Amino acid sequence: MLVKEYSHRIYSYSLNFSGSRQFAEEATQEAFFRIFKSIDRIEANPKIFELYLYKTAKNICIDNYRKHKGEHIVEEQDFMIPKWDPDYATKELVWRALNSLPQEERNLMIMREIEGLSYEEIATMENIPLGTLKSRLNRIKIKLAEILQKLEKRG
Amino acid sequence: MQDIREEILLFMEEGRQKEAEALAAGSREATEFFEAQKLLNATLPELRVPLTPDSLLRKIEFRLIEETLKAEEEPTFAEKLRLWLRPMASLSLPLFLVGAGVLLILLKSNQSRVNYYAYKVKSRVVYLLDRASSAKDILVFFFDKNSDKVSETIIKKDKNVKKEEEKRWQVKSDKNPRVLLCSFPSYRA
Repeated sequence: MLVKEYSHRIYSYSLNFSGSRQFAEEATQEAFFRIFKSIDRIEANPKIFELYLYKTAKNICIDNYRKHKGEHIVEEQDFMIPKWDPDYATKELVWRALNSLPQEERNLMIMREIEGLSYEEIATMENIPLGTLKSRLNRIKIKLAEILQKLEKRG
Repeated sequence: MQDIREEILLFMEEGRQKEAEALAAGSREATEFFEAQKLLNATLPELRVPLTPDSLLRKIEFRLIEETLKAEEEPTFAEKLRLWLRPMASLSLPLFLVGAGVLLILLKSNQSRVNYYAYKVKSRVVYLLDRASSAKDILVFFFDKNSDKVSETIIKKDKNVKKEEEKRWQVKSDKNPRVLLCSFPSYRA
């Protein structure tokens, strides 16, 4: 079933994007609901379907973000990284660094580095030229590494 | 420094770790950047949430089933008539009357109803939507009240559904049935 196949990726994306379990659940539900309503208009190609889902989830997350007056809601990250995880400290640090990025930059990093989408897929989704995307992502990666270095120094 | 970082990133993306390392060894800042980048590359994919909570899956499935039922509902006879008559408003009276008469006959003969049926099977409650009377195989969703779980199965309509039960458990379509069952085109004969 489509929901079982794709829900964890959309949930993961929304959770990392919003930093809130509640938002992520709402966004995942709503994304499937909207897709369901326009299923006739979507090409019967799994990759396109997946990208469409991501795009829909992203739009919902952004709407939510705006509704809360740009306030960046980040809950406790324990729900994402269990405390018994041997790499908890590292993951928590990286998660904090990621969440300190502006929304659009965080979105690109999540799609590329966490969800593993290709440059081509992201460029299609975001409607930006491939070269622009690559250089933008490079800049974001440098910025993220800098943030991480700072966080590590602070301990 | 910016150039070195970009080159390090490029090497790393191409999987040329040793070259990236060699380049980073030139300065302390570049080494730190290389190490941070290595950490990010290793850790970011780990932040993907592996599973969706069961409760969320259930919510999505319920909502989609509800929507399927709504989508399957056909307009009432009166709504159909109104829809068909609207473009005829610009016609002259005799033409309008003839057209309306023909439409009435057509609609009456083709009128199909959406029926929802609810069945109690042991401890479970089953809701069944039977839209196509010609359907032989029907996908049925079972809702287990005790465990709050939804399961699905295909039943042979003729073997499992008796006429008298249909009448007994029929739920009017305008009462927004509590859901759970629907037949899909792929399961129709």
